[in-house]
Amino acid sequence: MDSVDRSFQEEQSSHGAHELASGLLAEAQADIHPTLRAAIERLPSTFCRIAGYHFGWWDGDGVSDGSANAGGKSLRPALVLASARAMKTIAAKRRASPITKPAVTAAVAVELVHNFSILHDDVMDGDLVRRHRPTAWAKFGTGNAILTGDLLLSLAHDLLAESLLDSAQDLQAARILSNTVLRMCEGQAADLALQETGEATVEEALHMISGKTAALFACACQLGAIAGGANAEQAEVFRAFGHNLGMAFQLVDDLLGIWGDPSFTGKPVGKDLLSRKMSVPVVVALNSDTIGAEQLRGIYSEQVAIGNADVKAVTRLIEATGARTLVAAQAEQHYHQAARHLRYVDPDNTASTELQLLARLVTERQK
Amino acid sequence: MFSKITEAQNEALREVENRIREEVEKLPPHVRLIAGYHLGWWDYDGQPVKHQSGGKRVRALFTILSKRMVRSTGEVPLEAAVAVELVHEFSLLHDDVFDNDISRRGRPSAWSVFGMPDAVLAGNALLTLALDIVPRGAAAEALSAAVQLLLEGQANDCAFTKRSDITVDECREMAKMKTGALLGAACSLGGLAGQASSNHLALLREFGERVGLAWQLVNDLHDIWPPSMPTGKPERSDLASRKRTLPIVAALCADQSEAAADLRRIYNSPQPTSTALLETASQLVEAAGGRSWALVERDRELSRAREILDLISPQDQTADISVWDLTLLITRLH
Repeated sequence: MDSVDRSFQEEQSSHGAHELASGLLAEAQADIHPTLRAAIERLPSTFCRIAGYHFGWWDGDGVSDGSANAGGKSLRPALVLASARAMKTIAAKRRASPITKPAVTAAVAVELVHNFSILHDDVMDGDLVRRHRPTAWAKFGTGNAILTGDLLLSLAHDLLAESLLDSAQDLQAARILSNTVLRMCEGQAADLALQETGEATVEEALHMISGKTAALFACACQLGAIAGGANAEQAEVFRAFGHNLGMAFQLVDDLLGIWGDPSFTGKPVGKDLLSRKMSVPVVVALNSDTIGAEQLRGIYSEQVAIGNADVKAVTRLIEATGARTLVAAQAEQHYHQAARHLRYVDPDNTASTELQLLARLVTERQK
Repeated sequence: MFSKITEAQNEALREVENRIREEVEKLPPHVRLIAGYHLGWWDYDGQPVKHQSGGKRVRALFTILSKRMVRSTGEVPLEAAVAVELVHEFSLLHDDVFDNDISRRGRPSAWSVFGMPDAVLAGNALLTLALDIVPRGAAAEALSAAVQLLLEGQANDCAFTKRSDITVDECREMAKMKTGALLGAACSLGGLAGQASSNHLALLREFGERVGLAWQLVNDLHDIWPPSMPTGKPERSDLASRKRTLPIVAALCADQSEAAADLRRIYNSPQPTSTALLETASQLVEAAGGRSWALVERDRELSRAREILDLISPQDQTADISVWDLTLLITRLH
């Protein structure tokens, strides 16, 4: 690791940094909850029930049972809030103030868009379980889940328009959000096509995750920066940071889907292999110029299921093509690139500490 | 359809269509293809089709004419009109998925060609374009509120297919949300573009909502008693799929009627249905009073809509002539 990267890593131990980052996630969740909850409760009762179920606030009948999970990790809202704070600190040249209303509103809008896409993706992918419970469509039907997703999308636009941004910022923010949603739709379409055909170049697979995952990370950081008073150039740098971080996030996710330790991930060994998911490491392996690639193509083109017994062999096969090392290196590169973007707006690494912690959590996580 | 509209209005509609095209051309390739197919421009592999079968842009025309009614000078409210049409197209893409409708405007519906996921994604893209192009501020708020009502209407519509005890009032509320809300927004967005007073804006919205409901009633009637000219829809699809539209619910709810009891029996029987049985069902709807009820309802909405127009422009009886012409045109029974 070169000296530049060391300054980004700070002296924090991995464990300590992750604790702090997890704290930021919990804080973000608490910060956005009242606004998010109020927005959802404004919805017609059917949708309110479905959305609240999806967020893990209550069961299918709208009753809060103690077992209801607290929903997602709030990583994207945390990025919005941390970007806003970093930007404010940079602008004021001193430790910035508590979070502001525009930042919270933008964070809620981003969280709504994230959940809009989850609701729809679960329908399209036919996924039955999310966060240890039946998915919304499995519980309430396809139509209701899609409509609830639509509604969250429209609500996200509403919220952004209602925030305290001035009119030029409002227009800019609205454009960013729409472009992001279009890229996400395209990414999901590309992903579905990839899963169906089983064929893609590495470049296509990377482009797909850039739309499907990284676009919203980029949007989160850019909107946060704008809420924190960034000018166009600074906002663009935050966007680039978010993009690289989002790429790293998805690549790490794909690695964990194959090599993740079940005791951390809570998911079966080789989950993505069992479902024949064409994740980036698989695409890299299939495109590698190795004997393993040939064998792998044979396995992936057969219609027979990959059983638990075969998972180990297939995992080794992918590993032997060098795909694991390559993808891990790419994730690392995106992480370092993200760090360089931050340094451009925050040369002495003081204003963006929170973003650095979140970036480490994303790249070093085990689950 | 619009034999009466002026050359200026035709020109405005062409501009609307061009602008929709420009917006859709900006979409990423995958969703663009599906959107263009749905909009009737291209076939499934992106080749332009000879006989385009796109929407009639009725809602855009209401936006344009509403603006002209409150202000005769100034530009055509292109962005607002395009946004309203894009919301409509988004709702069709998603609606066909929930309703399992395999045909739309005389062609296979988008989901039946490209699959459910792609149709949903293309719908999302059109909604996003709409929310992006709509003028910021009051227009965006009005459109967004209409989108939310429209979605609630669609959800109720889906839910109603599973219930046999729908009341006429519930069904009317659903239709108001599903069709009325967007036409109400179309008119109020036109008013906003013409800087109408808040009083006039509220009136314009109510006008559009009422016309929307009247329009829906006539569409429902046309499904049961198909007009001689083709609608691009399979005939009597509502009866065939046991859909509970307004005239049908009115008939099913007719208490003392023997015809209603017979109709309920058909509605409780399994699908599919023969052409002869559909014919019988349509006669039962009429005998149970569903048809005449729908016409009375339509006329009530229309007379209130006419009163509203008189409130908006009491002196100038010519300014609103085209809005009213259009209203009568779309609510006429063929």
